[in-house]
Amino acid sequence: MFWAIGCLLAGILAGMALKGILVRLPLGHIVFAAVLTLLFIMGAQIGADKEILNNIHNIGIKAFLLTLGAVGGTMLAAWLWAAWLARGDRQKCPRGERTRRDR
Amino acid sequence: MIDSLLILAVFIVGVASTALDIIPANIVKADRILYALWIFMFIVGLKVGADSNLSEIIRAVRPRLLMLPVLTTLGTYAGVACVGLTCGYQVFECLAIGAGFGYYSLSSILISQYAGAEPGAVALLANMTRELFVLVFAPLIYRLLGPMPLLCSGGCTTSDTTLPVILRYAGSAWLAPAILHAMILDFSVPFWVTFFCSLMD
Repeated sequence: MFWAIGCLLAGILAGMALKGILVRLPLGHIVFAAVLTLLFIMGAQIGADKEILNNIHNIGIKAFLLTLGAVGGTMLAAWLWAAWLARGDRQKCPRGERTRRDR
Repeated sequence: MIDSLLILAVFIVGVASTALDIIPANIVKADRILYALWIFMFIVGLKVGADSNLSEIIRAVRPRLLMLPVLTTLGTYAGVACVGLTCGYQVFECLAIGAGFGYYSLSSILISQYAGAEPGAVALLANMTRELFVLVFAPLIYRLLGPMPLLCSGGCTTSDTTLPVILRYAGSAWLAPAILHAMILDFSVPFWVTFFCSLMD
């Protein structure tokens, strides 16, 4: 598992060192082609596993619930933070001047 | 959006290819897939290293802006942990899936390699749905909760796919925060995902 992180860090360092050469390469397209290849393999692994295929509706429900949890939790955290910042700004502006963040 | 559809199509073709016995199943069970993953991680790193302009990023950083990825991370983890606990799913698996923050390609590939094909499929769908959710509900999120929850809900996608909708509703002043938010989260995804996968049974 840590090999993957090691490869990532090595890539970042190499990318920073070879920036001048790499900006001329279509790295975005290379990454996208690699993503498509690996996702094809991932799909093939799932297709080969009959247990997963029989359980596909549960996978969909689980993914949907996790999306709701992730987005809901994020929105709540950001909303609480924004409300706390707005409260602090109102205390600094006792005459009730509206700050940009209050809008 | 076309990229997302292409990714989904390739994934479905992959599933069909072995489910319908078009290609033999043992091809994809070999250890060499792990080497392919390492090469992939190296290329992702190259792109990050070549893209990033460290001095510009450091100049754009303000303490309040740094809170955005922290809020996204904490909120996502709290949300998926609640779902995991209430629905009886393994919490670390839910956290690994949530740690994709909408970066469905990288997170699902890593999770399928380290935690199994089923969690990988859930990660792909859940993180794709996150992006779709923000694209569809951006006006509603902005009207009900404001610009910050809209930006954070986009996760890693706020520098590319969801950026146009964020700027349209929250305003162009959110361009730099959106890009910084996505860059920090993008960078954190492989670390968080592998960390939570290592905590799974």
